[in-house]
Amino acid sequence: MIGRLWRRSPVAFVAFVLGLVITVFFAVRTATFTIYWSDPAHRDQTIEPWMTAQYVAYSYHLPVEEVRRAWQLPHDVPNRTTAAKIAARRGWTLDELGSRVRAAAAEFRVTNP
Amino acid sequence: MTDWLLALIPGYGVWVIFTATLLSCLALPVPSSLVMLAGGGFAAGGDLALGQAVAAAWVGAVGGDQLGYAIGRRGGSAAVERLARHGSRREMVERALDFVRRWGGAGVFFSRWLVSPLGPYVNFVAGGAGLGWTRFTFYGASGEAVWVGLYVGIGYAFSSQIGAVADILGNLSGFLAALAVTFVAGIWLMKADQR
Repeated sequence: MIGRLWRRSPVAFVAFVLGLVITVFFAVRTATFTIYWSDPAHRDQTIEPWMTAQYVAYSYHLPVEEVRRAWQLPHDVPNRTTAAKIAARRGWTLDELGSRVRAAAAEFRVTNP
Repeated sequence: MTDWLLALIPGYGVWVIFTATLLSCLALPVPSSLVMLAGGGFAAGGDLALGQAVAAAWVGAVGGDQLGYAIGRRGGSAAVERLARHGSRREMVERALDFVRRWGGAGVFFSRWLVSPLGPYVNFVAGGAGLGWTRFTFYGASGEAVWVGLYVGIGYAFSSQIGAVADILGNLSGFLAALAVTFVAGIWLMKADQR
């Protein structure tokens, strides 16, 4: 039967098989990512270079002042400065910015339950 | 490039979002879904106005669709005519054009958001196959409203989970697009087999 389908319309046959393979590929990836992100341990959002102080504060449910303090931002640095710029300015890595925010968040949640 | 692009949003929000959706409607590899999700996320955090983010994305997307349609119309209709000149292919081309005329509206609408990876190619084909401009624009603009509303809205609602949402949505839309292609190829294969 496969030989017959191939002979009747090779283009449709290739499109169908290729489509099927790609469909399965994306189905597996969708399932994998859904399972991965369903685990609460993976949810504490890592600091990406594009995130601003304001954004990080929002996503960690912190007042922006707490993030500013954790990253030791001077008054002239605005809330919409990105993590990449702050890291470069301080000479810290993004992971360092992340651990500082998580420490600040842990402390904040204790004092403001 | 993605990080660099996203880092521009707090400063130049509307322009980045507008450009990203416009270029992605022309099949250029711009991470427009992620830009819209991040735009929604920034809006939730107060870095950007939500209405502006939605409007910029929508205007960019509709503009990109129009450009793609115009390119298809200019380059495509001549190519279609040339194809149809050969006697043997004439019937096939006629059938394809018939198909576009009958299902074009729905195809344009759903390729905006449900199977969005196919969107740019539908623009070129719609222009080339001579799908009416009014119909294309009506279904296109409505579909883009759904796409933009969905992505910016999801970014707004799940702003603390942008990475997670982008991973899942990106693969889900790839899955749906591949499924649609497989389905159409399957029908084509069945019809070829019956002949």
